[in-house]
Amino acid sequence: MHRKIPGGEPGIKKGSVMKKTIHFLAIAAVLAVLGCKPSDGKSAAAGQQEPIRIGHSVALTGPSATWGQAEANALKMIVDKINGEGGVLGRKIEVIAHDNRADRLEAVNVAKRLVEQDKVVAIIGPAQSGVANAIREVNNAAKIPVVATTATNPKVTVAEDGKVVPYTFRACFIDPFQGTVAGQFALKDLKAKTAAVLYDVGDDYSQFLGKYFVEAFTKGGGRITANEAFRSGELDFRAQLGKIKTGKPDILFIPTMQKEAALAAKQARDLKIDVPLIGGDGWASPDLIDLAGPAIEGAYFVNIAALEDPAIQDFIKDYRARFNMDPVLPNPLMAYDAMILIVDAIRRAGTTDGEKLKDAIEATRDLQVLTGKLTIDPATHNPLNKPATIQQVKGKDFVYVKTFVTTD
Amino acid sequence: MFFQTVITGLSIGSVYALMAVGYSLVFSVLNFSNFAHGAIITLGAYIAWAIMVAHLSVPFLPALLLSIAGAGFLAFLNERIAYSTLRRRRAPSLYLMISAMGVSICLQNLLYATVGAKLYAIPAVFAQDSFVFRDITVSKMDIFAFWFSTLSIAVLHLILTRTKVGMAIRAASRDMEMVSALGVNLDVLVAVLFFIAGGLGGMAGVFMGIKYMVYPSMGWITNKAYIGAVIGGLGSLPGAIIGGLLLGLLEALVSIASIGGTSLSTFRDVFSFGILVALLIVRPTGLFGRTVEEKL
Amino acid sequence: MAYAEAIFLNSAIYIIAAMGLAVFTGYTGLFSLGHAAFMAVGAYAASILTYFYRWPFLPALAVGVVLSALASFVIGYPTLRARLRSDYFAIATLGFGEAVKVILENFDLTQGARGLPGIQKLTGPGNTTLLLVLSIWLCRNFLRSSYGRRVIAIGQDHIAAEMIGIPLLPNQLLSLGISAGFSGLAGGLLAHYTTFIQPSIFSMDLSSLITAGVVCGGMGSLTGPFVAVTLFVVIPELFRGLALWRLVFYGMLLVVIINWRPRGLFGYEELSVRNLPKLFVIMGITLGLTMATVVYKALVRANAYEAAALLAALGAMGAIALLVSLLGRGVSRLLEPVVPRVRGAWQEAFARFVRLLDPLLGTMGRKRRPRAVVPGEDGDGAVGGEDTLLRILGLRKSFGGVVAVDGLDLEVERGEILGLIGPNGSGKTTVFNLMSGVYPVDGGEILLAGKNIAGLSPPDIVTAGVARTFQNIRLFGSMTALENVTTALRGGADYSLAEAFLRWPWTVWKDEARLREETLMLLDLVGLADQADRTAGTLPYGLQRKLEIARALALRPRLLLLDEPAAGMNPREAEDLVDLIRRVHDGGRVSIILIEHHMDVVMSLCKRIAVLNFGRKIAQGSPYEIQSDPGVLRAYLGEKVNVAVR
Repeated sequence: MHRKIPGGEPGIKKGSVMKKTIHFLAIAAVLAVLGCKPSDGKSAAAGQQEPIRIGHSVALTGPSATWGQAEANALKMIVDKINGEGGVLGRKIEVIAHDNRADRLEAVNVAKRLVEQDKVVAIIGPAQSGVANAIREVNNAAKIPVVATTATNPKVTVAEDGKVVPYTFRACFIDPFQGTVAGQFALKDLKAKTAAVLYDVGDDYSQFLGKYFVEAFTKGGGRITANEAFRSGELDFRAQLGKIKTGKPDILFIPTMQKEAALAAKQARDLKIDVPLIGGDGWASPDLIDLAGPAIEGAYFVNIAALEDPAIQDFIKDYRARFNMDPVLPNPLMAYDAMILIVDAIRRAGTTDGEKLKDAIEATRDLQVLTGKLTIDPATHNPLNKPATIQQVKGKDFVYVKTFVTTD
Repeated sequence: MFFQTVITGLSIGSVYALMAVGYSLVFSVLNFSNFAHGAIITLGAYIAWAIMVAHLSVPFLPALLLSIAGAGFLAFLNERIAYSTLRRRRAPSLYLMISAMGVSICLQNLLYATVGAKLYAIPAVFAQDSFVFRDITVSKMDIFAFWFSTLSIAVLHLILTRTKVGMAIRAASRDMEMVSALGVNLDVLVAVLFFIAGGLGGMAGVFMGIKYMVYPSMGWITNKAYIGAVIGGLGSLPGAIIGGLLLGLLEALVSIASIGGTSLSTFRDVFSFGILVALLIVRPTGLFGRTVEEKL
Repeated sequence: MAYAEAIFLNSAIYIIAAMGLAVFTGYTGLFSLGHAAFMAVGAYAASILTYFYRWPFLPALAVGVVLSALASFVIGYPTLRARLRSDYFAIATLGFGEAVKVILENFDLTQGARGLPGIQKLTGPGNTTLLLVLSIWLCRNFLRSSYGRRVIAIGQDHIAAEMIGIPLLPNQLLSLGISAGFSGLAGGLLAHYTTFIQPSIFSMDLSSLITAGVVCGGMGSLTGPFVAVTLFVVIPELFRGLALWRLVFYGMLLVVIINWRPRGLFGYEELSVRNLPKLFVIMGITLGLTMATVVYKALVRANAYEAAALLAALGAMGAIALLVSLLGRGVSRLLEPVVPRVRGAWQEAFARFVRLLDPLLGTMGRKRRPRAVVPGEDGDGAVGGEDTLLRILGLRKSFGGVVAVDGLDLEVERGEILGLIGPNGSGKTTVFNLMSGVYPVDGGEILLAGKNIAGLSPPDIVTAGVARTFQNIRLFGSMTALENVTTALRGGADYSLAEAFLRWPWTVWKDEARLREETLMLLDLVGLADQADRTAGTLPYGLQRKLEIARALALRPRLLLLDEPAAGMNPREAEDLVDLIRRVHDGGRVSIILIEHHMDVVMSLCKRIAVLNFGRKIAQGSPYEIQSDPGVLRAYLGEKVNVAVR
């Protein structure tokens, strides 16, 4: 039993508490100010004309940071290159990046800030499908084009009702394609007759990639023995894996991000599920191997590009020289491509006006980008004819296996 | 599949059980739910990671012991800073719980702000070996964790029944005022209590870090462990163990169940929290807990 | 400008949520950690209606509010009925919050964990300001009404509340429903502001944020959470780069506040001329911080040394904080004479307006609720005439192994003052507790005018006509003396909940005035009429006792149980008390059982005395008989007994 004690606490005078509060707050303020750095020191960049500001919505912290940082680095490279060559329409370009932590709500805030406060003319990113889906309305309402880098879910550019999302584009392939690649690879190259899937029900990307894999695999004559799901953020899938094991699949498809894939691989091996593992581009971060250890050895995954790809060797060389490490593919390539796409559109449109810029992007044909020639399909805002590569984990590296061509 | 699921469930359950013991230990004496326990468990994992991977290369067993000690010490500090004033003032247990919440929020986000949200792995200690029996596999890490936890709880039991401090703790769980009146220094008693609870938590954190990975919101799992403690009856140590194991088992079974074709695996948490709420309503003392009637 | 608007909208939304939580956690005293779930229900309901079915904004919000309130019933009913202790209850709400999240994640209509993007941005400064002001107004009206008083009483002391006839469950559910409704409103506004929601937004972190706002602002105040939540939103904006540290800071703040200043910023106070300076101090510090960051950044950009810039910034902050605080004090002193006058004038004018419309809106078409039959008044409706009012037969109660009451038989004649004495631990207070329904009875009967009240719920016992005071005074400390008594007034207020929310002048005002009059009569009886507006907790001990008696009388009891009313009093105060009890007794209108250790008091008031020891009656009779009873003397062996034989 207790009663709230009204009046004052015994022994503490009212006045001194007020003083203490002021002192405490003052000290807190001191500490806070001490730790505070003046944000975004817009150092007096005395440019003649206003630079063209392009936003970058990217995960700079969190599990997806390896890709995000790589994107940011690639953009630094291309901005320097373009500005060195004279800029665009006589103006320099400037990238304004904000950390969206791969979090949907944060991305909405970031998009708003880029559009309303930083007044960007276009946005590069996000890299995750779910996140890209979330910011749709913001840039549509503001009429600012968005070019997602590695968001592969089809809904990012084509809404549920079949209509194209007016101001969103992407630089990468889409999941139906990726799922088909994975499915056909499993059937033809790994000669699998049965397959099981373990996906993340809380992630657009994972759910749909799994779905497209199942479609392609069954269409090609395979049989799905199990289609198990877990909730985002869960760590233990052994119950689901146990169920998968009883179906005795020939391969296990894990269309998740690298964290869950690592856990799933470890736990699958623990349960003596020794079949080959396949994944999507969500695996393609180097810490996949750190997190999974030997469990992931020999696993395959679909990716947008690989380090060995001859077309991008110059880029790789420059990147290594400048940042002293390998780029974490494929994001930096996609960011680079996205910037080329946007800059080209600005040049063709002759203006940075949102609507005209959008039209110009839609009309992109055979534009030379890092990974080949880029044509945007106006009906879906997706790039036509982008290839996919298969990579395999060998030791501490991702090894290029082949470039996959799908058969319909 | 059924037996494998049972093994899986017990394996998760043993982690829950170890964490639940920490909750019940504190509850038995101080009569409040220490929500900061999750943060201590997470910190235990981070300490292990820091000394095994990031900054030093301490081998497993010493690292485990150091993490246990470190977590215990942090738990002691936690009590000193956040609870001792309230305890001395005989504040209602709700205030203690609020304070615990504050500590939990503070520590978890401190990790986010300093170490960052990146995921880290502690390298597997026993490679990927598992023991296979018919078609049931049990990983070596699980077996070690089980054995070590059992040993620790046995040691705890010995401490509680054979040492003076242990007796004082057991007495205090019945009547703290009486113990104080008998001349036992309550501050020391509570400090020891938290050190033990924190140590067990740190141990659980290390095992979790190895089994899964290390990241700031690991503490989320401890909510489940708390449910296990409630199932077994807050304040009862055997209850905590049984409750934790039971919860792990039930969760695993729910994960493979399905109703009319739709898998229930994603509803697992509704199930766990549903049990929590139902228990609190129907039988808050759980399986083995004590009823304390409020004397007016 | 857009930036300032964003801060305003964010604050307003969280303030509305905090208001809601304050009604439940702050005032009713039940700690909820799952209120984000109600925000989720409101958010999803409103969004689904506007997004899929193109509903207009305000109706969609209204549906969200209603659904949230209904959802609260789902968790509220089972947990409140089970009378969980406070931390168990908090945990149950936490579990509920998480369960709601998971359900939303698995629900197709809500698009699961991926969330609902593309919600129209319908939340604007206009409608948000309107809804904010409306929320505050409604909350205030509720808390000032009789419904609100009951809820506050429960929060102050739920046992005392039951003892004055307030049933816990319906009132707690009411408070929870209202609070959930406000949270639902905040959720709906939030959804149409961020244009995107997903279940993980409504996490324990969000619940903790709002809870921290209420705790730090002050449980028992609306101003407190208002200010605290505003600070929680505004201050991180000043230190943008420290976004992650914001939560570290909240956590620390929570620990600090609960340990050393559990009343938070505003405790039980609302904004008034008196604590205006406090508000100005807070504003001053916030402005000071803003200025400090501006000064710091400006100086650093102008290439000053960082240390110098820091000092200058601190200086600026100190200066501004001081200035604003002084300003606050000045303003407060200025307003002090003015405000009461203005308030008086306004009330006059409004009262005139009300009276004007009274013939139209006042009593026409409203049927007065029949007043409950009031026992204890003349013309007792119950079984009249019988001489024995109370008959206790074979009453038994044990606590674990200890037998507190061991087969007690006792009778009280109608209109008498029976003294109940005995050594400490003889079971006297336990008997009172059994009679008033605090403990369940192990065996025996308690017959009040022939009806067995043993085992009834406390409010039912109150209805039957029993009222009591407590050994250690259980007043509602933060309420005024007037409010303490008004809350207990039998029959209560005559207006509906809707009228309470609107503070409908033609019913609520009139009724409140009537209640005030009745209360003042009772206060006058005990001699406290001039203390009517003093906070009960600040009254001196002796007056608190009197107030408690007045409160018990407000229940118009047939039987009044006084538990050691003279405890801690000096002889003069005790005499005073004796006079008071005689006045209350009024020649037999109320029957009284008096537990006392002060023998002067007992001997002067009671014609008959019963003596208890070890839970049984060992003697009964006139004061003289008791004094000379050997059994009694044995029971009191060693105790000094000061007896004045009259």
